[in-house]
Amino acid sequence: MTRRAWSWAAAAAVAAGAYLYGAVAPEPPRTNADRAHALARGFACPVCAGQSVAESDVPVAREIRRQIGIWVDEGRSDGYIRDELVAAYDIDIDYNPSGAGLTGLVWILPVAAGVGTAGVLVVMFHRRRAAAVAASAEPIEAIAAAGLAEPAAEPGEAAVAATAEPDEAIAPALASADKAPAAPGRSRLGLAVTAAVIAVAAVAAGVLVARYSGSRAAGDSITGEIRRTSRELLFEAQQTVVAGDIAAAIAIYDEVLESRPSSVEALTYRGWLTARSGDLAGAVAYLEEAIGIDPAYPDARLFRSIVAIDSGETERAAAELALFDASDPPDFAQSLIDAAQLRPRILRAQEEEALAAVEAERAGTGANGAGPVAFAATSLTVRQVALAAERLAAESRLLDAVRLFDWVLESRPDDAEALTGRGWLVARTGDPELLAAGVAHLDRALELDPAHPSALVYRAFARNQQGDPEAARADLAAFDALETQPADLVRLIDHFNLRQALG
Amino acid sequence: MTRRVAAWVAVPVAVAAVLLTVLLVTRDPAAERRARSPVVGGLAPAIVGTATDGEPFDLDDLRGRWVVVNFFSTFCVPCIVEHPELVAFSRSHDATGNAAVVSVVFDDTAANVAAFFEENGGDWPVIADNSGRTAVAYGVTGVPESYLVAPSGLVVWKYLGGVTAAGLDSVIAQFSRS
Repeated sequence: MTRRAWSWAAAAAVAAGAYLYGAVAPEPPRTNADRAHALARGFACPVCAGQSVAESDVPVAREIRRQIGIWVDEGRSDGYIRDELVAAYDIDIDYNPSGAGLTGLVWILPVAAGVGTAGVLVVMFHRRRAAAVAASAEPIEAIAAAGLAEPAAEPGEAAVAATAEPDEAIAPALASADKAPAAPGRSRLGLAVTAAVIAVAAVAAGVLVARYSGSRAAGDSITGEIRRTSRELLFEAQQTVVAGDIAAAIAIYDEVLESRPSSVEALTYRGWLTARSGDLAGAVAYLEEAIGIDPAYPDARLFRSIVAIDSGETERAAAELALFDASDPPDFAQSLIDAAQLRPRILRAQEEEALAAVEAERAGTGANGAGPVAFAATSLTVRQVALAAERLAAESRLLDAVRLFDWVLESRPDDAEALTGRGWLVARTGDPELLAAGVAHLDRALELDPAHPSALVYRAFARNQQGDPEAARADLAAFDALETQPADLVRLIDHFNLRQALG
Repeated sequence: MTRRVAAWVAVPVAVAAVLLTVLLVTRDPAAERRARSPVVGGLAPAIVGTATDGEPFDLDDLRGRWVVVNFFSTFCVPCIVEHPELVAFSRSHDATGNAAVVSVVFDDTAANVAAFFEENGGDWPVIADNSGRTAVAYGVTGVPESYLVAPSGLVVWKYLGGVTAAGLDSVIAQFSRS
């Protein structure tokens, strides 16, 4: 082979080596799912024979996979995940033995054996080469010995020849040899070898690029399919929901959950879409899982509240809505709450349940025996009575509602809550006499509890109705000065534009 | 290849083979090691959350009592067989209050669990463990599986398979004596 052929061959070898390194070098994971899957492949299923956590489908492997997914999503390091699993399942779970202690020999011995063998081979070849060089030098030495024995023609010529040789004598010959065309047979062989090396390198490069750049199916772009991230999939799912294609959106969320089982957003919206499809029990499973992973995710709380009220779980719905209100709700939530009529539905359900309980207790069929009973002898709360009275008022049974509060006040005349409820019930009728009576009850409530938020707001409405905006503004200012303002009262003020009315 | 070269190759390979053999022979069989748990002897992994009855639960609140942490699922026959034993154990310690049971649901639904307890009894806290975090922290490999936590908070025993009330009391007595 000529020098040029050797150069090409060397370049091809370097390229092939680079591709080979790229093929066998550990590739950084592209997504959390990739990383979780790669980690799962490195741990043994604790109850299987020869299967990794990634391969096995027994429940414990699924739990470990899910937990690895959660840790990866939380940003935990590989070392942390390994330590946690080894702490729980012992070192046997780790397919990659550590380099410490006796186990380290598993790493060290193969390397030591390889290095030792290579060293022996190097020594062996070095000796054989030295022996071959010694053998080829023997004839030259014999000729040199013979030349030295010939007499020189002139003493000066012998000295010049000795100093000029060997470089000057050999250089022209080497130059002519380089410029001279190679023998036809050797040239064709070198060309064929070069072409073969280039072809192998090209094919190898193509195979490796195709294998490690992504899988390309019919119809895909020439650069192969680039895997979409979970974030892109979630965005696509949202767009699909907006477009009204629930089935397609569910499929996308399932795709996300396949790679990221702990994705709270995917679990939440998969649950919500399941509920919209009519499967409330299935929806609860998704939503409970989302809440279990991230109890502060407001969307999950809102959807769980809606599913609960649809399932007849009033208290659960109210509790979830309260948790939602206490979080940082997204902007879209209000329109969804309005569309689902969530607050009125929960309130109405609470009122109906409270009315049923109150009527049962008052009729003597409750837990406390037969006959008319005093409020103090029942297990009812003033809050329940207030809700029951609101239901009666909504059914135009105002007198019955007032009687309920009077029933409470017979037992507890100084109960600010009952006084407030009764006062607001009659004040909001708009009748001047009832308005005055209502304000009197609210005055009494505020004497007993000057920081009672409902009494302050209701009296502000009543006083404004009486034509006393100054006093109403004072009540509203007192309400604003409270440490916390109940959300339902704030909504009431906004709904009736009380602040605008008071200037 | 001369004899000398062959010896150069054979010696390191033989040494490596012998050391590997010694390494493998001196290790415990994998099956025996699985029966143990690194959790035993250490502080019990935390169990914090809301029980299925809505009450908050924290394993640390039971410090000072023996606690049986029982992993189960309703479709597992040994769990069904084991359950009356847990009920008996729980009732026998109600009076003294020196031991408690907490169940952790493994790969099952809340509805199934509620129906299971309604049918089979048991009034101890049941934790849903939706994320699987608790099961993995304890190194659970299947159900039923139970861990006995001492009043100090250390895990002293791991049970693979069902437990019996007598067996639990025996271990508690053994540790109490020591």
